Amino acid sequence: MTILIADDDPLMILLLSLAFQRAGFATCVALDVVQATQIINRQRVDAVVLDMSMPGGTGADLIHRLRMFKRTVRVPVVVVSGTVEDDARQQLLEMGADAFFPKPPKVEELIASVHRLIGMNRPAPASGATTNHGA
Amino acid sequence: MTTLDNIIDTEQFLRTTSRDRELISELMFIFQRELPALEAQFTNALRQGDFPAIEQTVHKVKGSLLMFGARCVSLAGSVELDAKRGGAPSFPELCEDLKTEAARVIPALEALLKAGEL
Repeated sequence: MTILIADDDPLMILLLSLAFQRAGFATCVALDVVQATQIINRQRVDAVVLDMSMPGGTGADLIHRLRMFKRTVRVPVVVVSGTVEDDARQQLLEMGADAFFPKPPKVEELIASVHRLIGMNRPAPASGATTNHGA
Repeated sequence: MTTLDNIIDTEQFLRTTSRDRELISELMFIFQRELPALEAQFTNALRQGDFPAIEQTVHKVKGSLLMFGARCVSLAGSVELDAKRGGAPSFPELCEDLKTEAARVIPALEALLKAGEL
């Protein structure tokens, strides 16, 4: 299983990469929306964990692109962001994000959430997250 | 609350990093490496009165401060918000305070590591 981490913050990339790798996932990293789009076009990813504000576009742009194509329309998307305004969070969930975690995320909950979303069961959310499913 | 507790919310940082000392050292190394460039960008943007650039830089710094459980993250949030609004009368002082407080983060983390609290 491969997780695409789309974030321009090196600290967050390190934290998330290590956490997902230790949980048995492969990871790939995009530092901006353009790189993320290239990776999505080139290879299969099983879930995307993205920041809301990135160079070359926003997390919302990336969600929009993922939801446009049959191949990626069902790829789970988890937003991890320092922007915690309810409106912005709700807007992302309406656009097709599956879960939202404030920065810094509780990594165990984040990984559990990704596991569940990949399993497509999409049950009740982890306590720290806002999700589109369950709750 | 000790002096270090005034700088770092240790519990939050340990929760984020799952008490992984190797990860903590790597995060500190990256932050030490990145901070001077961010500070230079911030100073340049301030000098030029470039509020979008200030906002962008402070947003990055805020992400790092959040990661480390730095208590000055609220100050970074205020500076970011003021920059978004195009400044405020107290903006220069807030920016100086943020520089001072952000510079205390790594020494505080090193002291906590040395004391075995991380």
